[in-house]
Amino acid sequence: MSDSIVAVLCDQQCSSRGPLQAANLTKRLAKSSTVGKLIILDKACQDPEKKLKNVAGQKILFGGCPYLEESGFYSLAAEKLGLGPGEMLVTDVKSSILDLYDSPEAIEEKLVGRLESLGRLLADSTAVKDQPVKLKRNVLIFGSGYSGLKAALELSGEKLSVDVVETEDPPLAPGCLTEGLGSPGLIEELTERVRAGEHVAVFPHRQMGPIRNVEKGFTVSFGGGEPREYGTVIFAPERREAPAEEIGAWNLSQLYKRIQEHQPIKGRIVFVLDRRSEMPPEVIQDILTAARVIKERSHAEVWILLKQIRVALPGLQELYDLTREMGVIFVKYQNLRLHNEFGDFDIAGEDPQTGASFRISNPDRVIIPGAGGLSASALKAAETLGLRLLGGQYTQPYSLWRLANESNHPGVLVCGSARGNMDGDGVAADAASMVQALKARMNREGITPVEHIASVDADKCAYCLTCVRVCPYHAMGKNVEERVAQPITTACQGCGICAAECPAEAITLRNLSQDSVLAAMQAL
Amino acid sequence: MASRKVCVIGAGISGISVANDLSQAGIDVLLVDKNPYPGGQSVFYGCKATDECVRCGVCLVREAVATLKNQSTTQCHFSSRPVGYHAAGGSMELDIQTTANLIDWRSCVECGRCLEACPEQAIQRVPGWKYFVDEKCTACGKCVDACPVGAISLDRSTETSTMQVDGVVLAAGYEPFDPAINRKWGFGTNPRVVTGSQMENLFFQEKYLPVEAQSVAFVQCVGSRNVMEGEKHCSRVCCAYALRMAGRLKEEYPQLNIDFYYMDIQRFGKNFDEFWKKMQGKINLIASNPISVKTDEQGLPVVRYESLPELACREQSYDVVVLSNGITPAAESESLADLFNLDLDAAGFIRPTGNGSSAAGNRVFTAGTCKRPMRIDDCVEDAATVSRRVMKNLGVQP
Repeated sequence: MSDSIVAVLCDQQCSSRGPLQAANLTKRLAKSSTVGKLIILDKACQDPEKKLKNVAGQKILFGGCPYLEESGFYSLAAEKLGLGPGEMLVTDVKSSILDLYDSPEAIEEKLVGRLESLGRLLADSTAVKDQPVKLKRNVLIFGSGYSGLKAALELSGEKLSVDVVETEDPPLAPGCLTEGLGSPGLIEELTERVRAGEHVAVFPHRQMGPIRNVEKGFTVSFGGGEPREYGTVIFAPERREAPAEEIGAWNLSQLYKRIQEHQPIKGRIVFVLDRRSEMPPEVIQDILTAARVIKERSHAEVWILLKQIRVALPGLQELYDLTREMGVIFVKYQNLRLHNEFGDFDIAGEDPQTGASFRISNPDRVIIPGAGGLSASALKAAETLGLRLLGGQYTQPYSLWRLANESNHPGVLVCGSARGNMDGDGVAADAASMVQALKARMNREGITPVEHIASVDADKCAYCLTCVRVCPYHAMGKNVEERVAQPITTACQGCGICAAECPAEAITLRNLSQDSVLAAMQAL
Repeated sequence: MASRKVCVIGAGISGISVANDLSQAGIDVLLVDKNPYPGGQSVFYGCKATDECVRCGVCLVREAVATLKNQSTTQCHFSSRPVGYHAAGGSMELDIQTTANLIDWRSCVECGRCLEACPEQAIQRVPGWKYFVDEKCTACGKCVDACPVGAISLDRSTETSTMQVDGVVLAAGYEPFDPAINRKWGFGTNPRVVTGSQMENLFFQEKYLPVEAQSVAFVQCVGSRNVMEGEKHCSRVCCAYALRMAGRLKEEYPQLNIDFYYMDIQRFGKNFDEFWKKMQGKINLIASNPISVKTDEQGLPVVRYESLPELACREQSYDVVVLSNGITPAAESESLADLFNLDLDAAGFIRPTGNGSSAAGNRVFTAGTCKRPMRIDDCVEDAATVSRRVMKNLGVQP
């Protein structure tokens, strides 16, 4: 049995400069008893096909970098070798290991162990020849801001059934003012068009139940009704701005609202930017647009205090020049002192270039941007969908694939300002590229299901969430209400790390008994 | 439905990504590039990963080139340029002028014998692709004899062919700013002063530094945001690439002293803040207005700068100075814009089309850095967007 396993390690000019010591690994695998033969394919290898020719007809364990999968390497190899779905097992060496452990020795240890146990499992298990699954043609869009609406419009006419979860009273997110002023009724118009769509259903947010992972997709019930099934969830919530940190100051949303409603803004207006964190250029563009509008509409005196000039958007430099010509005063500051007495401000600071100090006492209005973030329900949904949160509450789709809005969960996509600051054009482009990725995936041959998917025994689960921590694919979520770990079946790669690490022994891999997993692990 | 044909001009990362996306949807793609190989500027960039991936995106280029190589449906015309364009009614005609390649990539089997045979080392390998001959070639003919499949000929004839297409995607790319046009940067006279693009090529060869060095300075905003040099726009990429390079250098040579001169850090992208904080402890970040780079008696470059906190002029000599040069519009932008009746913006980039806003109508699309400075991953996403618009325009399902 053991000599029928052939391990193949591949490195296709990939940035494997990490602690993965390929040479040592090779040595260890060559010594391993489960692996009968070891083949290394790297950039020095001139003719991989020739190398693989000799092993045709045997069971093969592939390990390599994630990009190999996208480039179709594995399917090509399987085709060339005449292997069926159960006869080839792919493990993703790089991404799965690097996050978890620090020392190279530990990584190597785990990696060898994992490869060996996988090899053993492969040898023991009978091939499961499932039909490839296609993604269901029902799409749920979470969020009805600019990005959500754009995504819905891009998807309409694609013969898909689209459900949109409508956030109540969608605010114009900080970052989209320029767009909104260009065409005032933009959001309303888009909403109308979405509502008029033939295959689009709109649900209010408060009726929405929790998103649940089921096999090959997600279900959500609305208003306590029958759960609706989805193959794809598009995560497109609007970013919300926290209130300004100082009493009496406005945040950007408050200002934008007044600008849109044509309320008068007069007197001496001071923007205090970059206080806690520095603004990205998309937000600066909106702030400058707001300053321009204020100057156009009234004789207000506008001060913009900032730490650095940011111009990394086309046309932004011109906007600086224009607003400066209109009389907006830009001040670069350091050592800012902001004295606030129930809304009466006294601002003093120094100019870093000249060292001269400036002081603005008793301005009519102070505008301090609040921190950006996601709403509580969006955060909860992100957690269920297995999306990682970065600083500033941007979601990281953690893509093994090519496009940044695809995540490694075949049914989860992220669109719009939830994954990075974008201006209006950026959101439109993001929605278009996301739809392309989705369509391409739906029309692809289908995704071969992983034979072994983790499943959690709810009675045994102690809710320690070790599995959530160790899963290299972010495929383990948690069900907060029932206090059990919940695997995201579409993302699970069947690696078995969670089963090995679970202290309560509550996780089993489907189609495999836990005993055989543990036996394989312990045999190491 | 009759098959549709789209011409993609420029085989950089944007052009290749568009071509790959379109041919996957069953559209016939003509890929035209002035170089004898695909990949454009970024294919010769080097990975900048330290102990973790810093998302420079270079591997995306290699991957795209590999996909192109394994695809049969894309017709590639290298060493070619469009010379004529006629749109009448519903049909579009393109005249493509092609110079014969010395190495016919279709018949090349990548044996590498020409590489050994060439006395001038004029034959280079493109990562993920095959070989091409650069301008060092003296046409000695040794490679012709060495090639076992007869893929090499010394024929450099030029011919022009006319093609019917249903759409055109312009992905003409960019030109790195050349600091040699202004003597104050000392570039071109001192070999210790290199540009960011040259550094990228050194990274690609895994050499990292042009000469051995104890101290390196990075000077930002060379050829960007400078009214005097006529480049007012921000290139968007330099802050990030220079920081990544600095991080990689520090990893390679832990003793290296790195100073980083910046005017205003352009932070965009969600990871930048974290990356910036991480770099703060590793390299010296100096807020300054760089004035010039001179050469002292020992031949070392001296950075003259105006330190912003003290507002004083300072000088500091280094072993190597890296000028982070920006992205400027490609030399061909103007002629291409003329050819396809498009507008240029103030900085000289082609104004984006494809939304029906331009005189050229819906049939000419622009992708990638020919419309504004972009990072590699931006280019890939932009390409996806553009190819989707093309498909929508042609009525093809992705």
